[in-house]
Amino acid sequence: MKVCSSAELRLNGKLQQCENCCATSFLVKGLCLTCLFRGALEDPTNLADSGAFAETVSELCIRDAKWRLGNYEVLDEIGRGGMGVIYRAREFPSGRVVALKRVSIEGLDSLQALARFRREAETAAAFEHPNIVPVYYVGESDDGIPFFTMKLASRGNLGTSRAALRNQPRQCVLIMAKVARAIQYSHERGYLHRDLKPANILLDESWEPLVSDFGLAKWQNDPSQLTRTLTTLGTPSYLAPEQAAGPSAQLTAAADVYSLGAILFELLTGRPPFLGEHPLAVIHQASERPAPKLRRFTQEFDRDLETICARCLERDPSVRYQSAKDLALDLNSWLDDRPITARPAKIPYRVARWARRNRMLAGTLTALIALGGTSLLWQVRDWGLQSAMRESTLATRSVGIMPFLNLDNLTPDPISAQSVASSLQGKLSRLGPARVSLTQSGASVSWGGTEEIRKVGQDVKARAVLTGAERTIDGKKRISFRLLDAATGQPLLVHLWQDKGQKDSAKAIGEEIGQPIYAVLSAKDWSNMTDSMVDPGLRDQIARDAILAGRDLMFRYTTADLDRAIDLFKKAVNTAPDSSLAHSYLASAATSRTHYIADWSYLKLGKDEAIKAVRLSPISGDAHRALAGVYYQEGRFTEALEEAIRTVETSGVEEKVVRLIGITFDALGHPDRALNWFTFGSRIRGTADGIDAQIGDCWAKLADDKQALQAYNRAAELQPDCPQGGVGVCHIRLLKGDFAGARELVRKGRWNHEDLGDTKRMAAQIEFFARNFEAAEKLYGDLAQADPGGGGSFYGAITYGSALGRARQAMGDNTEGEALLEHCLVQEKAAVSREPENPEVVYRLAAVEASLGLTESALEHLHTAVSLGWIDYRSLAMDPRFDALRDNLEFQLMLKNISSKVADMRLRSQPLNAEEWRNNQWQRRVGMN
Amino acid sequence: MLEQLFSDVHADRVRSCNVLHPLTHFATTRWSLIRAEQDSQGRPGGNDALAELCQIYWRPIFTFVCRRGYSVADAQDLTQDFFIEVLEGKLIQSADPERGRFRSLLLKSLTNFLIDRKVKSRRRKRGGAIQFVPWEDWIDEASTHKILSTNGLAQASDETVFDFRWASTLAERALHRLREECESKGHRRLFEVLSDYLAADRGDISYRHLSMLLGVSEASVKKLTHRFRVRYRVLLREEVAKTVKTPEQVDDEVRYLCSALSSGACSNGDESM
Repeated sequence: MKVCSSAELRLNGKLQQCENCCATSFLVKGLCLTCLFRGALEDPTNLADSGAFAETVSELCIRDAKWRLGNYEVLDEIGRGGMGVIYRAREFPSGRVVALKRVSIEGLDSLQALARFRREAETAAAFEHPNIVPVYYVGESDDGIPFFTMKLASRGNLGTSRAALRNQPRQCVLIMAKVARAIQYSHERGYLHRDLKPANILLDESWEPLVSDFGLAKWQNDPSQLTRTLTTLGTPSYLAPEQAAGPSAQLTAAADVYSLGAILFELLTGRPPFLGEHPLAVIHQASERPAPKLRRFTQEFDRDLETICARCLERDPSVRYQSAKDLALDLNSWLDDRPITARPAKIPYRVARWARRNRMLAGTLTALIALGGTSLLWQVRDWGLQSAMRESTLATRSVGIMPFLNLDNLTPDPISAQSVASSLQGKLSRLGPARVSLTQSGASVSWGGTEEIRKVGQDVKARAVLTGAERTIDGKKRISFRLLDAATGQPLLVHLWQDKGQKDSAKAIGEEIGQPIYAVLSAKDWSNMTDSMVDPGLRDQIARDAILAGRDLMFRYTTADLDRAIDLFKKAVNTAPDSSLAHSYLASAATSRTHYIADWSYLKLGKDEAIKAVRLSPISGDAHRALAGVYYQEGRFTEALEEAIRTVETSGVEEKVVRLIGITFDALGHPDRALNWFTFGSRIRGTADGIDAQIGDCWAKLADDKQALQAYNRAAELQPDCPQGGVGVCHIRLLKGDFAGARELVRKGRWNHEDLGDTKRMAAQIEFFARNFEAAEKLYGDLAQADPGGGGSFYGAITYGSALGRARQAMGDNTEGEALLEHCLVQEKAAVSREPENPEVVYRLAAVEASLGLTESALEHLHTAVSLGWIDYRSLAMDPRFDALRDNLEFQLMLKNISSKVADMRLRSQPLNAEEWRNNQWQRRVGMN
Repeated sequence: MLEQLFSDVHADRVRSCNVLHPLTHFATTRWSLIRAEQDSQGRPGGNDALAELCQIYWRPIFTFVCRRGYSVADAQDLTQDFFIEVLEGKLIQSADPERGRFRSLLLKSLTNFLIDRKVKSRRRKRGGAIQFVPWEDWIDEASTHKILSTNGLAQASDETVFDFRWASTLAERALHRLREECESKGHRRLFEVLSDYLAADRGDISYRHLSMLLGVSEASVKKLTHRFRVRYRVLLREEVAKTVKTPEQVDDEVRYLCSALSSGACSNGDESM
């Protein structure tokens, strides 16, 4: 490329003498400075006719063609930018009139300047967005000067149209929302604009904004762009303060957000946020003082708009909107009169009043009704800004593979991953250029959290990350693969692979998933893809609003709110009948309602909806989780477990699902595996939020009291308002036979909440097991009055009715006692027919039958309960309801069996602390299967 | 003679209308613009002139600082710091525009600035990280400076070198503008051809060659080249005019620069005359 001739304007190295004046310095080739200046001394009258040159030229019709650049004929000059000039030009042969931008004379200083200009052109040409000025052509003129053409914006730019827009605030907000989305688009492709100002936002004939002048746009890691020239600024009023801090500042999208806010501010008030006598003053002010509030200058606007502007103009970039998209969303919300900036949901503890079923309310409830946290988020808002900050060296067709997660024992499996990696590499290479890398990271704690994924992506410089979750069913392996965008963690592809008995399964896997993975990697732009993965319920405005509102209501944990949420979800389902998400949420809401009020029609609704949801989208984590919740409520724990695992397979490991899996294992009588999952879950989250009590219960069932006490004490410490810890400790004392100790705790416990019932239940149980039947009868009597059918899900599965009956029996009041027990029998039988596979329910029946002397039946049901998973042999040993069976050999044998089974499990569970997990994962004793 | 304050834009229009005598209308001097900035309440966009200032005139400043013995990197920093002080209005306030010309004022301020800096140990100014000039340009200029110091100007005083660089800056700018005028009317090629002959005298020009090249008669070529030069001179005078206050001063300034150029140029006494 020939360097332009203004390079001639350098002082050359060779000194020559001017023949005319003998001066020995030259300016340009052959031009002598001295002569030039001498010439300027000429008689002024000679210089009178300065327009004469132009005249002469046009007179003579110099055979100098109209200025042609490539296929364009330059018409006239529109304006001047930083290093470029913009002309109107006509295109041949179409005749279309376009804007043509070319490096200006001042800009033609060096090869680097030309390269910069070229970069701007290529950046802009790569963008295709309705609000980014489209570039038609990038080329070079004959003498090597680059230029490009773009759409001619007929209404000039925001700077010139400012006045016209002054009285149309809504129009201004709308324009800026569109600009924000355009900027988001460029961020996602790795470019910050860095020079947003009204002059750079062009307007076409229909007032549609077109962002232009990406001249200072840059990759983050491009070293030659470290400096910023003040001279290219008209005014720094739109510069984020950190931009002036120099090359060491790490600019993020927030810098562009600032500019957007400043422009909006000016459009609405007529002046930029900061004014100053000179550029430096403005910059200093912007970094020293907080930005003025919108309403200081005009009372026209409401607080929300003021808040939006203020948030853009925060000095600290991390406090601003973290993405242009977030800003656009809030602006749109304002335009629609909707509330801006979502409030985070808080989960209050005090829901127990209405709960009938479970004692572990906060934990279980949230596990069961937790709604697609991550999946919903990414579909609605989280565009993951870091995708904009990718390194320029990332290959586009690159995928990193993390060690697979073995779901059966929750350990990483790097070996499977390795073999799949090489097979995949082979397959991909046959399809085209692609790179597969194996990574060691990920085999750590958080397993597939967004941070982990990003780190993996960066470590191996991959654009996508493949995770696998494997398990063995009937001897055959099953792996669920998820391909995630390394920058954002968003899922791009979900694929379930089932071993069909092939010889080389790794090869088979490569063959099967290679093509779809390659197809995904070949796509330049994943936003389209993720768009199409968006649930139809979120694409429809009405349905979306209903879903989001319903979700918020669900987190309030009152029946009234739940009912309203159910109505909203029903609306969403009607509006978008093929929205798997809407059905999932409706299912979850309906199921949750049955926690509060045992209205089984809601459970049926939940089940129908959940099944629909799964059918509509078999790879939707939300659907499977909803179904898991339904099964759990039905007491079908095996199915619930399967669905919960499927949730992990389809939407990855999430803390709430993990908790659900844990409580299901617990219900199935596998506290060891439950523990596994609970600990796993707490690692993901980083805290063991509310899980400690559940962990305590598991240890208690495993008869490892030391661990159990530790866990309960932790719970009590971390959640002093929650009685679970304290009640748990009581429970241990009781099981050890320390009645006095247990009683004392109940009396003195800080966690003593009368209205919650747990305390009362504990107190009653203590007396019951201590065989103080009179006291027990009174306590259970009180409890039964408030809640006749309750108590069954507390420790020991002692329903108030059966306890009362037994107590009266024991006190000598046989008739009364038995009458009550008969009543209970009927109820328990009904319960068993409803939930035949729920060990707790069957156990309760056995207890009642034992109290009534129905030995055979009792033993049979007890046996069933044990085989279904009942393992609390210590309660069994102390429970007065089973007195009639104490001398029975079979009974004694059963007790023994359970206790040794538990001992086995206990041995196999090690207390898992962080170090052990990290260091010894592959040394963990297998045998958890 | 009244001092007329016109914006550059207006002046351009005026020129192109060719209505009035060019010497009675001056593009607003740098002075006036700067003073206007001081008074204004910071109209957005009103700082263009100051920013432009830095971009246009940094080379002589930089060259001077280099001549004073600073390393390129230090000279860079100092130049920038100097402009920051200019932007902050410190130097202008203390200057008396009635007396000196922009060039001499700038030089004087620069000299003081450097002394000041030497006395107080060098402190990085706040905002000094803002780059006025692209990195590449510094490098270019630094290499130019090297050239300067190896030729006959090595013996010249620092002030002379400053003036020299100043003059060449003005000459370059005038050339830029002429080039753009031609380009915007589609006469790029014409400019290329004629610019070779901008300073040369009559005898030197091959009119026949040009006439063939341009496809016009020799007589037309003569007229063309003459007017081309005239146009350039007008532009050059305008550039000079921007740095002085009154029209009378333009001639003085040009004369001054001529002498600065000759004295520097002919300091090498070995050249025969």
